[in-house]
Amino acid sequence: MSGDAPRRLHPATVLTSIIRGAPSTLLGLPAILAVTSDFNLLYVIGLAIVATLVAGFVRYLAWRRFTYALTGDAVVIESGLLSRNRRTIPFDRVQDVDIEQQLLARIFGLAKVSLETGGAGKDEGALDSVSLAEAHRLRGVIRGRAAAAHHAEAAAAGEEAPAPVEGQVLFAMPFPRVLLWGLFNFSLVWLAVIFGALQYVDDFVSFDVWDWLSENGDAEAREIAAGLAVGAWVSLALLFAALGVVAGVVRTVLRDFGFTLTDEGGRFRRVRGLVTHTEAVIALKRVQLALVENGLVRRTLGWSGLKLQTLGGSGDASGRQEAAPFARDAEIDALLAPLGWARPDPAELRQVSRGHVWRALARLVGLPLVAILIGGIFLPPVLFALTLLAPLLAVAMLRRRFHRYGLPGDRLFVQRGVLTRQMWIVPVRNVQAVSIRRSWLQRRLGTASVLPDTAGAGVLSDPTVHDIRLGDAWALAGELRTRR
Amino acid sequence: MDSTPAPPALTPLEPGQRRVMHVAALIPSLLLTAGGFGLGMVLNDNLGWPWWPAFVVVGLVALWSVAVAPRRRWQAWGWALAEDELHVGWGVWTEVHTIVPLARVQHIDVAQGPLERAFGVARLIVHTAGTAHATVVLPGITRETAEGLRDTIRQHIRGDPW
Repeated sequence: MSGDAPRRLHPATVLTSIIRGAPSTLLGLPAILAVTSDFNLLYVIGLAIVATLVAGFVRYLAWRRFTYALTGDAVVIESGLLSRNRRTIPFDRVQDVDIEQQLLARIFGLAKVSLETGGAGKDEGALDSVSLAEAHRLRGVIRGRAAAAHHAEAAAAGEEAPAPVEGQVLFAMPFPRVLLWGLFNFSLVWLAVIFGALQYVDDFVSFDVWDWLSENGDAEAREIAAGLAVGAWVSLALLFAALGVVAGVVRTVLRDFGFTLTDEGGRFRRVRGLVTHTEAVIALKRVQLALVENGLVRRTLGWSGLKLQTLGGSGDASGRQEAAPFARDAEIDALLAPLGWARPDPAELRQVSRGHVWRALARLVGLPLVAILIGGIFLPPVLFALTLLAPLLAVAMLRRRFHRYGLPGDRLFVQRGVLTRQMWIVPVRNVQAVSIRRSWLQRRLGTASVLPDTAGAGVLSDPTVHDIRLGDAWALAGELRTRR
Repeated sequence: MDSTPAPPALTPLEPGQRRVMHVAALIPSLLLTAGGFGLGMVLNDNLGWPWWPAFVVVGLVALWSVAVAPRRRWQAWGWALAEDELHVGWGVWTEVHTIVPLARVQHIDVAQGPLERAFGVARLIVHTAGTAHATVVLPGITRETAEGLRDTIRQHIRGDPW
């Protein structure tokens, strides 16, 4: 099973890429015409031909540079005119081989071969394009070798689609609970959108929200228009709050009505939605981590939400999926059970370093403080804004108390958040890479942050452990390695 | 956690990479200097200030970014191949040390731009299935080292990474 010689793409690829690139190549022509201003057809055609020839030559060179080869254990793709790149995709990593034929390709009898490797879903290995026969040959060979490479594990794991079992309902939200959940989805964003839209309409039909409020609203609203009483503002605020609640409930009912999660043996199926009925499948094998999240009020009332982060395969949903938006602890435990996961015993978690407080202070309080002090120099009343820093100060001081982490078995637990609290459950085997990061301030404090990178994650929040002592950071990285 | 694994000693990049970084910083810093000159002229025209202070200040920044900064960035880089992990460290203000388990690597690129070719260095780019550090780049190693690393990593790639 040695490799064969590097091959080039089908020569017709040069032609198809010129045709496909023609619009952008010729796009500059009108601009040139606008400058020269005297319209001469011959001149234009000549220019178009030159532009196409130059583009064609570049594409020809690119075609000459681009080669692919199947070696004994990998696909090797070389590309690049000036900056040269040699990519190696081991057969073990190839999940599937796709053949795609677009209209233009079909005319020339070509096909684009894409190697799916389950990475972050970019253009990982694309051969654009080869002849259809070559595409089928490649698919055959690569699939065969990939299957051979996968063979051992596949046999051990007993893989491939478990027969769809008639699902057992694991979690469902009856209508009253959806309503209750809606109350927590208080949203002023929607109001802003509605009012923004009204203002926008105003430009066309001279409809003014404030006029409307003063004419059609209640007595208080009329007073606002007159700009008279403070009470008016209070009731307006109440009105806004009420509308915010209504908007949240409506949105939640539309989205989460009839929320049902069923266990189909190896995968969860989620159905929800009032008007648009949506269905999603979460393959348990592809779940990378679990996130239990709750806000301050929800937590005190004993409710939390569970999200599962999955790495989408072909057709499956990817990213963070809501497995249970509004559930009791016992229900969340029941959902984690099929994964073989559980929430940690609080005693197994350790606090992060004291440096975390300092960094939180610098971030949350430091900058506004400086801004207010500078403002105070010019305008002393600004100093009253210092009182606004009190809640930020409280949050910063409390941060460390609630930022905990632990690696009791083969799962990493990370808890974070003063108001909205997040608990991450990350199996060590799902950690792709680990980074240890030290900012300028962290170096002074002797701390470091540990960032475990997982597949299919959102970029907004991740199970980072902030500000632990440097020694602890290396120890954690080492533990993540030994328990892999 | 007693067998505390200290970070492995990192190998510095090839000196050629430092030259690559200096040369790559040349054009932006020339543009910056030109911008400083332009700013000086604008201040001269509109406010009647002398043209040279803005030019000198911006020019010094440009000089620093071409003569000093690349060296510091180059010094911050380092790499090591522990038995089954690739360690890459970089960053002057924020120091980052990334550990990629070789078994998690999806595919590997060895890349070389024209400037890098001229100074005899290459880049190794390791792709994992992750998100924030899905692509770990190790610049400034010789082409032989890059290819050697690639072959070592390939031997470790087995089975499902998830």
